[in-house]
Amino acid sequence: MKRLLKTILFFGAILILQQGIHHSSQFFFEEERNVIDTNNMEPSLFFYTDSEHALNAEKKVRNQINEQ
Amino acid sequence: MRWTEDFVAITLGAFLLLFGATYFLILPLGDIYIFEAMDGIKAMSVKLDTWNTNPWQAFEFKWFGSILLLIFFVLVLGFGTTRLTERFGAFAKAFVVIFLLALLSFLLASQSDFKAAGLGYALWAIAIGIFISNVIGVPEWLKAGLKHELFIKTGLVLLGAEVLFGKVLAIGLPGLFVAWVVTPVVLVTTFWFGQRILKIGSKSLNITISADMSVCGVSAAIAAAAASKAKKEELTTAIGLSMVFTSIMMVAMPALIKALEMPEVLGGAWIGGTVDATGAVVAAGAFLGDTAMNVAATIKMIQNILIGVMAFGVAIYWSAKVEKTEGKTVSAIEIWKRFPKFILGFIGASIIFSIVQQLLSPEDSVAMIEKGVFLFSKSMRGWLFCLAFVSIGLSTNFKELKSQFSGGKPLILYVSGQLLNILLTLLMAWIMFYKVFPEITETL
Repeated sequence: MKRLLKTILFFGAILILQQGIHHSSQFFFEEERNVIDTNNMEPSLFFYTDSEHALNAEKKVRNQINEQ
Repeated sequence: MRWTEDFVAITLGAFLLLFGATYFLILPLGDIYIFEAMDGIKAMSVKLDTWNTNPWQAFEFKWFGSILLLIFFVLVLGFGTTRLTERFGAFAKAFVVIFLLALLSFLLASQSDFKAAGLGYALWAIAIGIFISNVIGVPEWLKAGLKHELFIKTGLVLLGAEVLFGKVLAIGLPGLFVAWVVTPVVLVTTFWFGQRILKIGSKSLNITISADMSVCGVSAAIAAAAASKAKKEELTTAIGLSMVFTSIMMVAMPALIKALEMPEVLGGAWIGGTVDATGAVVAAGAFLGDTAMNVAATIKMIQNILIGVMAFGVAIYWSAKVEKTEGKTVSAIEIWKRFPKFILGFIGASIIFSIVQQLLSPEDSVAMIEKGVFLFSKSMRGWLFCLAFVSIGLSTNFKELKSQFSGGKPLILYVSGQLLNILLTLLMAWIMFYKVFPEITETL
């Protein structure tokens, strides 16, 4: 019974966290949230090869410098 | 021949890289049927779709790939574990559960709100694992699959292949100074601060947090922890700190830069050198503008490459200095015996792929390496790290984890090191981009 209660609490906490992020993003970081959603970004990515944006940025910067 | 865990990790890593390169290795055969058979490899690079309220959306066209991946991992990792101690059947049975928990971690990480807040799979895998081990309990049969060290070492060999030294000069010398001069200074100073001022008892905890904060967050923490043979609770502590501060800095840094009316190039370089995770750097840079995002991402990418040098340095330092008996000199053979050999797989993969990248034209390099081998290898690396974090969580005692934070020393270490990082990176970026190389800044 105690285990079941703790399991419900664990998943409840995850749900509260998600709702908290969802509602706070409407008030505090709405603009930032829009940038992330529009560009399909993933802020939790670890390494540069995981990010298409990082790979494209490097090519863009390299080309800009080489063109000069 | 006696198999060790390091040797198994190198063998599995090499196999996975070769497997990912199969498409290009058989390209000269040009047989359409063989190419169609290759679709299975692509399907195994499972990446769940973003979902908002309906989790099933994440699995659209992903079920086949997920099942194929599970079978593939059972066979490949099962081969690895049977070289060591476990029986194949016992491992396979336990591994299925660990894989499903990893899948659940990826599912939570792909929820749109968690994704936007930067709460990645590492956090969920550890949290789910700790919850199960401390509330429900881990049955004896499941322990046969808890091979977090093997998963991490194999994942690091794959990560090594992605460390391409040709990228170092992408933004020229200013980028190199910001990413490759400030970072080691901050790393060494933070480690020294932890030992001498904070007097942190565990050197491996100290170096794992220092590397995590100064180099590139979670991936650097994994590499430093493996090189210094840190305890699983120590790696969990470092990752937890990194994820919390990355989420804060991702929003706070651009706000500060905007308030100070800082130029985009300087702001981008500052973000790139200080925010831990690559994804958060890209997002924080994008909050300022395209130029800031490009500079930030490029600086971060150059800093990411430092991970191999850092892991090698830590492994040598640990073998020669930390593990030596007081008052005795350590011979080269002794250092070799203690040296974590999987680091050689990591460095070897990095050197081989860096050379291959230099030999190929830029177009071929993108097609064959970035969109070819890496498409498979980085997916496998992500899964291996996620499996490792689930295993770490499942074998972590919450009380032991709590004891890591006693006196708040890890937190003080992280915050102090990050403050130094913030100041030094800003100073170096300003000197390099505005005083020494202003002509490069003008082109950006």
